[in-house]
Amino acid sequence: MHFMKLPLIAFCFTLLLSPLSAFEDQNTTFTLVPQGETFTPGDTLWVAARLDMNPDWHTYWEFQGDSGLATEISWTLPEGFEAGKIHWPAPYRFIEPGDLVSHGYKDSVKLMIPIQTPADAVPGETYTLSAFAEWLECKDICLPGEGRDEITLTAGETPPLPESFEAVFKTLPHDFDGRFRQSARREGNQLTLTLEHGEDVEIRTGDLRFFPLDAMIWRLIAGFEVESTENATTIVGELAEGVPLPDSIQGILVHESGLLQVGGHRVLRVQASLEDGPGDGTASGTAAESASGEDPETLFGDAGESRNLFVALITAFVAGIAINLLPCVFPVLGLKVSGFMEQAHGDPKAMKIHSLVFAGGILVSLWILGAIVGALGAAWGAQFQDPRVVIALLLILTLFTMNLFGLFEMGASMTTVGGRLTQKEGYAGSFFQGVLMTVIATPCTGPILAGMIGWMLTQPIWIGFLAFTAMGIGISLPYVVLAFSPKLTEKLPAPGMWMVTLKQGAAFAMVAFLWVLLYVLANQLSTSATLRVVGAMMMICFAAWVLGKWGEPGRKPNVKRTGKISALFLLLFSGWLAYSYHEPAAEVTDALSQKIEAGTPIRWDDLTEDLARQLLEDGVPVHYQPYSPELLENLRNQGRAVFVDFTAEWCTICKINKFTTLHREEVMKAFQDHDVVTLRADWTLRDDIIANKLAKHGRRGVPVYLLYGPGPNAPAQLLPERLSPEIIMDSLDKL
Amino acid sequence: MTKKWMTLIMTLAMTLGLAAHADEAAPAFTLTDAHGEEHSLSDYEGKVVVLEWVNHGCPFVVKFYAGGHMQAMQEEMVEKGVVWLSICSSAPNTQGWMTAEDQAKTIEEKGIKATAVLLDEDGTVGRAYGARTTPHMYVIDGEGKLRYQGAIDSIRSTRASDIEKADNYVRAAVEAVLAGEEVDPKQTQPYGCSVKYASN
Repeated sequence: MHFMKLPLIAFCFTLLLSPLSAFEDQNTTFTLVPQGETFTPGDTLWVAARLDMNPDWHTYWEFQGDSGLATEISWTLPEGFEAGKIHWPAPYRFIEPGDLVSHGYKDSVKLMIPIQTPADAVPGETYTLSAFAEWLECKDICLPGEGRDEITLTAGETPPLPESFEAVFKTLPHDFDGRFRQSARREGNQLTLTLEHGEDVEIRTGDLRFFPLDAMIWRLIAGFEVESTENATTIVGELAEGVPLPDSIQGILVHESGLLQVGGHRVLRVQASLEDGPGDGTASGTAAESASGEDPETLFGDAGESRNLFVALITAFVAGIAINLLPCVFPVLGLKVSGFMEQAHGDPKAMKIHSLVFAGGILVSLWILGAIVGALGAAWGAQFQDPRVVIALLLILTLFTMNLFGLFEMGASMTTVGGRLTQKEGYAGSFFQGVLMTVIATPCTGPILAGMIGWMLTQPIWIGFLAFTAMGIGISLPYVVLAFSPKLTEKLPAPGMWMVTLKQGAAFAMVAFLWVLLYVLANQLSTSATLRVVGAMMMICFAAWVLGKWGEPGRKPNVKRTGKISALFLLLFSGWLAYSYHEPAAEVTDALSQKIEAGTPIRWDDLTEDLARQLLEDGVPVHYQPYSPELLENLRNQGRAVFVDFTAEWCTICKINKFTTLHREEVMKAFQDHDVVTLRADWTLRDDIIANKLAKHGRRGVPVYLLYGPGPNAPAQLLPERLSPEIIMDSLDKL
Repeated sequence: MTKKWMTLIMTLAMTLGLAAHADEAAPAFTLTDAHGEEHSLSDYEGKVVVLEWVNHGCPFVVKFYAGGHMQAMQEEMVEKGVVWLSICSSAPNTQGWMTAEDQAKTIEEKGIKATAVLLDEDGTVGRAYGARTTPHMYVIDGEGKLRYQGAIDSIRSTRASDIEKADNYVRAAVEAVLAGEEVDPKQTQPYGCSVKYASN
């Protein structure tokens, strides 16, 4: 153990000492290196601030990146001398744990500074230039460093640049005489810099790297993708979120061995003004806004995405046609085709109208869905996130499936009454099919159209409306074309038994879809709520059978009416059944807090476990909390009276007792008033603890109701198996 | 692996580890302080919370602590009812890392006035906030919304003499939030040493 600690102590010691000793024991040395010892008065003389770093240590570039600090140099100069800004050679990119990116130098670097010498310098005279440098040097730790150095120059004649300087100049940002036409464009969270150049410029292939100078607009770790073609180089980088864009993008483009065939320079200075995308008015607006800094937030929406309206409409239209090929719409498709068969050999005019009504159904429902999506900002297909919508679909589609199976005929009951009504009913059916098609198709269309819909939402309403219309026309086009072309319809086979088979096949496809929907629902609701809906679906099947049975042709009108009314009641009942579920409350809603204040009894099952426990802790009585022997013992030791309900889901009499007695408000209120804590031991699944407890009281099954009086030693009363509110009240009064 | 793929994977990684941005909900966290007590962001609902990423070995942190500037600011903020949480995300045996015991000692020695000094050895909270430097500062309002993130002040240096000359972004942000005004600037480039995260 002691050995283990030693290095740690040593480490801490080093840490403590290192800031103190930083200046004496630096890892970087600073020296000034002039272009030459002499200068021509009035000339610009280059001086290099040379930083030599120990292995693994680095100092920072002009824009340090995520962390670090650029080196600073301050000069003390004789009168008439002026120091320019630092010209920074191309840096390296360092990546540290946590995906932190920094830009800097290793080994040795020469930061180049131009010194303007005075024209009135006296030849032969010496001048001393002194510089103080401050830097941050980092390895795995960072330390501040500083150094001072001076050089003495004599006025005379400036020597040519030494070779070592020439090499450095090739790594300084260069303009290449404006050979590059630079522009920048934002698209979503990506920024693309484009550098166009004439054919006289040859970009060598190889490793091109971009280093941005703008501090925070980039997500540095994402890196930059640099690509060159014959006459353009593009740099694509990802933007950080929530940071307003400047009017121009700055940085350097570095090539390892020489960017161009021009003087061997390796670094291009990038300074591109942020322009709008081609042929799109909206982007320029956003760019201007960002430049003025008025509303940086809108920048990060998709508003700037440029897409041609015409292209979008065509896309929507083609996507609409393609939707007909998706598995989601097969059930409706089968139905639609068989419907066509029936109509195809009947009245051609009626068939045309049918197809148009069908198209109308698709369009209207698309518009409505579009409006909802637009108004709520919801995602396409998000309607399936709401269990109420899923339940409605399940119920309606069940009825529809029964229709496909042939259990009853939609509108067929009216055939004997008159042709006009038949048609009317038939048109409503076609319209409904259109609506159905749209609704069913959404889970499939969502992913395909997500991008387009995202774009539409950023557009003015009328464009979105047009796009949805184009899509709707696309979906219904095949049917309309078929209906309006007699030559095609003639080729369709004659109706017959095969159509019934097709319909029934479609019915099974629908059943499969119902199955999928039930999965969705089961993830949203509790098991009991989901099973309620399944029960409601079965009820609908029954309603469909009643409707078909008493609606058969040849039945007397009053029989048919009775059948219809019965079916309607069954449907309403199933609707009530499906929607009367309630999910446990997860937080104290207004309704719940009112209940608590009024002392209205609250059941454990109506709350999530967390909330129920929290309420109990706060002293709110929550009825029928789960039983455990420890809980019972604790409560009794506290001197509380306790009622325990031993029950199981498969126990019918238990359910009846709950309905008639235990869950009645006045009964629970009576428990509360007598200060009785109620517990529930659920024996639905095998549970030895509960079985043992039952055995102690001489029972082997449920229901069993135990009532303990107050005080740790009060005896347990065994209540009868068949409960009534009076029995409970009487027993409570006797406590 | 090609560069494109690398870029894609890195982008994905960044997207998954979304950093905190101004005007968004601040990521929830629970951390243990130097005295072994737990602190959750949610404990301070209704209060303005300042988060400070700290590493006492980092010269940028030393800049603010050596002359007592940070302590004075912490005291001033706490007096205003602001909660000041200093978080250390240094991985074990990296710069700035300390055991809870040593952190407690440091609080004594340096006279740190933060509400609490929290330990985030594995860097989870630091990464959730996208903390890049020490110091990296965050201001969270009473509703748990991030209102400012970035540098502590406007002069990027390790010189304590710059503190007085600089615009203190954090104080400005806290005062704006307390006054119910818009924070300006909401986001700046933080400066300092890199946070010494554990390599994954």
